[in-house]
Amino acid sequence: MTGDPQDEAALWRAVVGGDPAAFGLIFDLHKDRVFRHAVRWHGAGPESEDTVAVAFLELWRRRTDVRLVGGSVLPWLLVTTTNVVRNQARAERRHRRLLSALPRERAEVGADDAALSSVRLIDPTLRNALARLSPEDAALLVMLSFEDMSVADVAAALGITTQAVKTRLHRARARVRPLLDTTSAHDVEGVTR
Amino acid sequence: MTLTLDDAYSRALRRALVDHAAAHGVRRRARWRPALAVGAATLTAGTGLAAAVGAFDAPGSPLVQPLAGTVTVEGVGTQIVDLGVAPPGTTAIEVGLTCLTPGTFTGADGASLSCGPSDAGRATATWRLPASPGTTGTTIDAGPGERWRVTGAYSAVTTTEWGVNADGLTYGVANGRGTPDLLAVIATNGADGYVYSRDLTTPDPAGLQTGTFERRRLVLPVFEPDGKTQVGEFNVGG
Repeated sequence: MTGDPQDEAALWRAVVGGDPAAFGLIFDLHKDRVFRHAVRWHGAGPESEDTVAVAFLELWRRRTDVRLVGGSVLPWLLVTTTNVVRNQARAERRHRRLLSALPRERAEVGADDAALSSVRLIDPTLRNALARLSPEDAALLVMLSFEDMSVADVAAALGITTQAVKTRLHRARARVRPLLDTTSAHDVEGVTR
Repeated sequence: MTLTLDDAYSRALRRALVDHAAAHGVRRRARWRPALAVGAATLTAGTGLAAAVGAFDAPGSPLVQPLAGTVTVEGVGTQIVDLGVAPPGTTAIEVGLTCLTPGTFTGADGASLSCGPSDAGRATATWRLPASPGTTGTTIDAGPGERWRVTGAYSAVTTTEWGVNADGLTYGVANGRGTPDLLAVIATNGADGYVYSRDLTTPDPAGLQTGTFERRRLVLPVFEPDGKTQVGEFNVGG
């Protein structure tokens, strides 16, 4: 399976038509990227694995609402992952039965330190600050600051205009800045493409 | 070194997700008529980008031609399913898998069906496997004592041509060749029609050829293939 957007768009059509095998292939394509996004919030523990599970369950549940960006579901999926993290307890209650059937025997995920250090984490100070934003503002701030998505892609994933993304980004930064120390403040600043 | 999801967890989660999708998806009774099956699904979904694809039997849809009769085979555990020799022109096998006991049953492409006691004899998964002339069947992977029934039929799948209207615009469903100018959808009023595909993907209201943004929702007119006669509306997002 390649990352060819044409292939992914075709796969996604099959998923929307109810094809479980195609859904498995979409999982193969994006599971690691979604996991790394979850790790930014939770670290490399079981909580991040559960976030991946819930994000993909939400992808299936809401498959007729998903917006493809550049032929890919990934931007929508990352935004959804951020929302899952913010409401992790509620999201896990919804999918409790499936989560309880997944392997739990490992105390630690066992990622090696070199791999983990390649992921830029969202520190607790920033996490608390993001919790005060609306889900959409938190998602766009994180997508632009941590996932290196373009304004156009974030706009398409959220279903709002590029101008609205820029306006909200400005407002979101202004709201969280007073709550941050130097390190986490640096994380949410940056060029807006 | 890139951080990846643990292998064991990933495999277990993949299987659980595919099973979940099979149990909570759209049951497609006639897999060899996928365009119609997808249409029924999107019609009830109402709105969404999804409804843009395969919405009805529009130009550019896959055309599935059965090449041989359906063969039914029952088996236990892991077994080769002998469907006979695939005739010339074969591109796919239309597979239907029913579990006859609880268990997890996996097809040649990794698709799997997990069944509990109440599913036995009732849960069926249908899908399409790629195949070529001379193929003699497929395989089902299952645990010892786990019983299943497979129906298989060789078919030739081709993609029909998009239509072209008086203005030279293509219309139909997106497929391996790309996206036509006018994309097939089902309107909110249930009418079959087409939206301008470029307007489905624009994030910027200023770039819209037709339609409007109303709060977070994109509202597009749905047209006849001529791209001018409106038959309904199509909503994205919101």
